[in-house]
Amino acid sequence: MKKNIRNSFWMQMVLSIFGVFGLLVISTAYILYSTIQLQKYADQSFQKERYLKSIQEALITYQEPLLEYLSTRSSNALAKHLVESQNLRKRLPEKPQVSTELNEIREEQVYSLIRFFLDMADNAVEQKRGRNIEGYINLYAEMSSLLSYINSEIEHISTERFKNQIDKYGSFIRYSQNIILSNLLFIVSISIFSVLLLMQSVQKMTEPMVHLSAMATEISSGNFMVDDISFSSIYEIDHVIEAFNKMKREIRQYIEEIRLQETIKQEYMQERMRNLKMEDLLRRMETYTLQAQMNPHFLFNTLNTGMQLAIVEGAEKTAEFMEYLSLLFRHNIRNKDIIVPLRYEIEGISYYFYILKLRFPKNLKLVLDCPEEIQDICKVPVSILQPLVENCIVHAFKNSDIQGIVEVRAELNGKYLYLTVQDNGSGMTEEKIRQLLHPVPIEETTYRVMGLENVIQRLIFFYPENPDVITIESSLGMGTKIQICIDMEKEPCIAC
Amino acid sequence: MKRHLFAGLVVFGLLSPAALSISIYLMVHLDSLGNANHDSVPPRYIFAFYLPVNSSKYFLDIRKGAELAAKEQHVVLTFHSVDPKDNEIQQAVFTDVQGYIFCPYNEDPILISQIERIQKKRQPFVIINHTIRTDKPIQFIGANNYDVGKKMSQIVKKIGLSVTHIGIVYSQKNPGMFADRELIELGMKNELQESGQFYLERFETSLNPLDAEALIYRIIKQNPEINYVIFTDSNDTIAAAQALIDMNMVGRIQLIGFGNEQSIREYIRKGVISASVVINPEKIGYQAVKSLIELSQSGFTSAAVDTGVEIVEKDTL
Repeated sequence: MKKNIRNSFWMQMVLSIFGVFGLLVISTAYILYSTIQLQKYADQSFQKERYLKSIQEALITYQEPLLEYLSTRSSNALAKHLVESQNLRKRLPEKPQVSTELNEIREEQVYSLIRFFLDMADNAVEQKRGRNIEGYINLYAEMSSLLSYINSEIEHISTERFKNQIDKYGSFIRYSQNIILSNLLFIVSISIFSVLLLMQSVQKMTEPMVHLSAMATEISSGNFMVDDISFSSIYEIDHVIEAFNKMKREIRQYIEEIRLQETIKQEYMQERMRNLKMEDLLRRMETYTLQAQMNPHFLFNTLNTGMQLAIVEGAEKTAEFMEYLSLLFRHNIRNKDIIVPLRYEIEGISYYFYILKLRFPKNLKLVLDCPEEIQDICKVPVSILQPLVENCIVHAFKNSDIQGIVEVRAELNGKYLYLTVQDNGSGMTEEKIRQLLHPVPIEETTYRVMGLENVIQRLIFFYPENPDVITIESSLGMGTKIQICIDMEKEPCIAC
Repeated sequence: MKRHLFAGLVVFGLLSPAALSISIYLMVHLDSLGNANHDSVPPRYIFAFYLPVNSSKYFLDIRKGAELAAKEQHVVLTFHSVDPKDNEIQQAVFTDVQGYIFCPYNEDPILISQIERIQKKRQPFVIINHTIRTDKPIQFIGANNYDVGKKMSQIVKKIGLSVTHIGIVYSQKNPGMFADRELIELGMKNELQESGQFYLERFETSLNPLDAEALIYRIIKQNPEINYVIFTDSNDTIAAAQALIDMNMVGRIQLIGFGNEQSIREYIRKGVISASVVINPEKIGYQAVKSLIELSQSGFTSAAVDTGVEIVEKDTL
């Protein structure tokens, strides 16, 4: 809101007070005016009667100098008569428009008779000057008769008018009562209206303050989500409201920013922790691999020596065994990649199978089924099949005389690659399956993670979004089926 | 609170101008208080009407007829007494009017002198009810009282009693008839002269409307030979008829009334009154105003307007 003298607090106060004051003053002025008008009207009712009476009195006064002159021929009396005659003529009203009201007509006729009377008086004076005694005596007699008639007419008119006034007075009283009642209603209504107007103005000015107070209480209790206070039409208050709303919005924004930063920081810390875990895992794997490499290299060299010795001695089967053992070691230490083509894993498992066949030629049947076309297009984490097969050999057929069967199968179904290692061994308990599938986090383990647990932990690590990346179906005496399910369209989570 | 405040503002905000409007309306109309019936158009003429100050219905009817004509013709009438004792007829010549109507009932010299002065001033005037003799011709409006006398005699003849002894009653309530008594009786005599011998006796009543009752008692007791009583005033007629009924003397005297009031018509229907002579006074008043307007406008009007005399009897009711 722009600063304007009209919407300033001071001007609003002044307008409210003077507006109400002005209303009351105007109302009172009107009441006073109407009262004066009523009085004036009442006074006018008898004005004509007073005027007629004054003319009547003037006529009586007028007769004195006339009679004195006619009796004495006094020049003083003549002068007085002339002055009185002139004054009386001047006092008579101009001939007005003819009225239809009978009393007014009679009144006009009275004035006409008075003019005639004055003419007769002048004529009598002339007769007196001309010493026409009989003339002025007759005229005086006639004048007396006329004056008597004029007086009776004035009395008659006054009486008639008074009768009319009595009727009119009744109407006037009724009218004035109605006017006074209307005025009373008006002044009461306008007074209440003015007070209400003043109250509304005060409320208009104080309402934003009340809202401000309520908002301050809310904010002090930590609630910054309250709505903005609406503006009033007063500049100063609006200025405070605007500043307060702005302060509230900025505090709310600041708090939200802090919250966001905290969230980001937490996420960052979680990520960092994850990376640290990853790094730790990788470091462990690397150490493990290095440790493992130390012996395979030694074993590899030793095996080569053994193989050459077996060839020299003519022990072909031993030489073949040591050759495959040598190939398996070489395979294991050759590749340092984390994710390898499926072909690489299949190659390693085929070496391992050969060795196992030599170890258990009669009571172990090994099946490897992997379609050629998927071996190059599918990639899997390294060393995930051999530990599973090894787990079967070590645990599944312990204390068992039946012919063991271990089947390793690979199948691409849609976007999912299914790797299955199945045996017909002793199986495992539900508790064991649960322990294997929900392993203790790496960082919490104090012992060396072995075979199957290592594979499970790595798969969960690489594919955290797929809870069924590895499943175990087993029951005691019914064998075990371990299935790995990898989404080929998703990259393993190596650096995430 | 806010809603109540708003409702209060609306209610009193509407009530205040409404009360103010009513007050202003009443103030504006205060000036016209009591003037509502007055015509704002000025009258064509103002005429002075001089007639006896009498509560007689006859003169009241004359006045009524004159007022009707004045209203129709947009003329104002000022009524004055024709009696010289009231000092109004003396001032007639000084009065500022455009015409005069005189209703004399005698040939008062003051009245005659005033009429002559008005004639000299060449102001229009008409005389009604009873004519007076002046040097110059005057316009007369009214019934011919000679004809009135003749009509009365015609009723007597129609009743046809063997002996004709007539008592004629004049009244101060109708001084015009009394003033023209010679003329009336002349008309009666002329009408009755061929019917043989008859006697005519004159009586008079005062302004008291019940005076005729006493008179009828007196006639029956003191003048038993009178078998016809003729009245020249309606009030006397009614009072006499009632007295006759009270005395149980209906038929003993033949009453011939004057006027056309409802009660007179009722008495005629019952046979208490034989017949009534009717002069229409309203017509006289009405015609007087019309003739004066004509005279004021053109300077001429009929020298005499006979408003006629009628007989009301049982057969014509």
